Amino acid sequence: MDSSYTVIRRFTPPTCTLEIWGKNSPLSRWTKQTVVKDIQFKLSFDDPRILEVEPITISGDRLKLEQLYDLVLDHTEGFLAQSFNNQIPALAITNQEQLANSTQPYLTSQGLINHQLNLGSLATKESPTTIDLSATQLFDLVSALEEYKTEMAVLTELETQKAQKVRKLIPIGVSVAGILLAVGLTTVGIKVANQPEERDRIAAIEESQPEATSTVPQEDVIPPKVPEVAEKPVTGIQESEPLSSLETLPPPPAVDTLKPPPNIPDPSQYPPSGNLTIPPISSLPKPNSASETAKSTTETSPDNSQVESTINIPPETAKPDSPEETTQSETQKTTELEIATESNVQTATSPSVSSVTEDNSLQPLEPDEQAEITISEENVAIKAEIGEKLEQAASFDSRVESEAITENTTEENLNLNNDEIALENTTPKPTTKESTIIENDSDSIAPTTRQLQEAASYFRQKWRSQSELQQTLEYRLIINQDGSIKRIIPIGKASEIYLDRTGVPLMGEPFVSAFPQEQSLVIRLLLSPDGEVRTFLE
Amino acid sequence: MELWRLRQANPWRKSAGGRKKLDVEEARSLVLIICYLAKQEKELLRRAVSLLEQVTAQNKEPHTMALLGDYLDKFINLYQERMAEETAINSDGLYQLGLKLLIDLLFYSGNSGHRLLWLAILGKASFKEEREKKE
Repeated sequence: MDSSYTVIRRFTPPTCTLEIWGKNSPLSRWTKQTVVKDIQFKLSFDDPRILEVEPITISGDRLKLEQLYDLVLDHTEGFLAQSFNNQIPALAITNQEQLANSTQPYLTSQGLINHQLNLGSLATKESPTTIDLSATQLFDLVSALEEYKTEMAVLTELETQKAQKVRKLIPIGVSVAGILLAVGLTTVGIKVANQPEERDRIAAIEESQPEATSTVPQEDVIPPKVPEVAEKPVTGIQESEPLSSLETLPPPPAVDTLKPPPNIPDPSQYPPSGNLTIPPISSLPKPNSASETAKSTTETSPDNSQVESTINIPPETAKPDSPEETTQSETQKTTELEIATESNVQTATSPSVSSVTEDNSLQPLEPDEQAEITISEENVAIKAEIGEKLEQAASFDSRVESEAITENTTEENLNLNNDEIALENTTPKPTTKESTIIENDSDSIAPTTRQLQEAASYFRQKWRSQSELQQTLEYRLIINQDGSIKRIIPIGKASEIYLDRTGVPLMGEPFVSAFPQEQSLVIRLLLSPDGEVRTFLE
Repeated sequence: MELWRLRQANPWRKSAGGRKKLDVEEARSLVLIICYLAKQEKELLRRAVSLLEQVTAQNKEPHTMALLGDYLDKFINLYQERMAEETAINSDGLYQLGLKLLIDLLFYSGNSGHRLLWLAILGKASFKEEREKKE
């Protein structure tokens, strides 16, 4: 056999050996299992009980093997069906019609336990034309062929799958690329987000001498941000629009109508929300070198300052524990990343005043406006950072809440994009939702926990540490609605023995205070040998 | 246990009166049970069939061998005890049937045994479950 052929399967029931050979197909690389083609087989009847010099061997390609499989299976099925037809062959060999010289291979049963396999076309030069098989040999042959069949089914399945896999590869590649892109963007965003912190500190120290120092750290960060330029620039374009519309300042009630449709988040839409929080441009020091010229424009332009001042309330005014504040800061957190990246990109490009990036990001804007926007954005980032820090320091507890609110906040962001003015009104909404939820929770949980505590305190009084006790006693207490005990179920043998020492109240005896729930309360009671009492709701 | 009672559905049993016919699910379950039991006894079955082959090759009577003799006795007794009179086969036929079923069981003990048995059953619309006799 060809050297490129490898034995891929060998089925070895006691009385015969079926070897399957095949060429490894190049498709094997695509699948974890080997895929083979040009399957060859070699079947040897090597019954150890029959001491023949040469075991009878037949071989051929896959087609022949399939033929043999069908033949053997058909015969076996026919043989087995005899039992149902009252055609029990005699144990002794009966004379059978010999279909001599038939090219079709066939199997005949000769009596109950003997079968004759006429190989016909399957026969090779070396092999005899007929093979006598006993029942066990036939059984082994059937097993080997069945195993081969199931194995091949798997392999052919794989073959069909691999075609699909190739087709799938394209979308997978796209999604993988998307994931990589997303990861890359977030890491860049995080880096950038950290950047303003540094700048923040520096700015605080060197408020008087803003320009030179602040630009240095920014330049360090420049390389990673470059990819963002392509995405972010769009934002710059949109910014100009909301600003002009803000002058009119529509009344807050619009919020309710806007709330329902949460838009599909478009990366280009994030920045506007950042614009809203921008507030204190005028008050903050501008560290950016590009801001020099911008400073004058921002201060002089009444529109922007007005907008900012109206919207930016959150971070500074926020009270640490109020849920409002957390939501606000949360929104800022989310927006902050975006803003920070944007501002950095812009600041990075702005000092050199490279025309390329300006073209990308800020084409529609007038040079003055552009500069102003970069400044304000940067400030926003800084502001947001401050707000976040304040909030973190103020309330750790609120974090849990804020996490829960993130969904809301993303929604908010979208709303912000729709209408910036709505921001102030929308932000409180989620918080009120939050608080109501909490109230509901407390309504449902509080009473049962009270029962739990009562039960625990009851047993703390009654339960004394038991020196001879080795293990923790465990009981399931089913409490009636009126607070009396309905049932006590000891869990474990020891719990059963020690039941009378636990001081558990009698059934029907008031035990804990009544509770409003319909169904009875189930409390798991754990009494440790050291006198510790624990109760859980079940 | 529920399935065990289904044996009563065998129309050839003495107590077969009034029992409903097996539905496909029940039959399928029985097939799986039979094959599972056969698989557990695979080694014994193989030994018995090999022995049968040897004995036949030596032109001896199978029941002279202890293993086969015991089996045949048991089978014939159970069959006569449980099965209705009218379907009774003469002792020679029963003898053959016992051996045939022994060989069949060997096939059913294989990995694809349940498929073989199911096909055999489908091949014969009205069937019986003597295989249980063996157990």
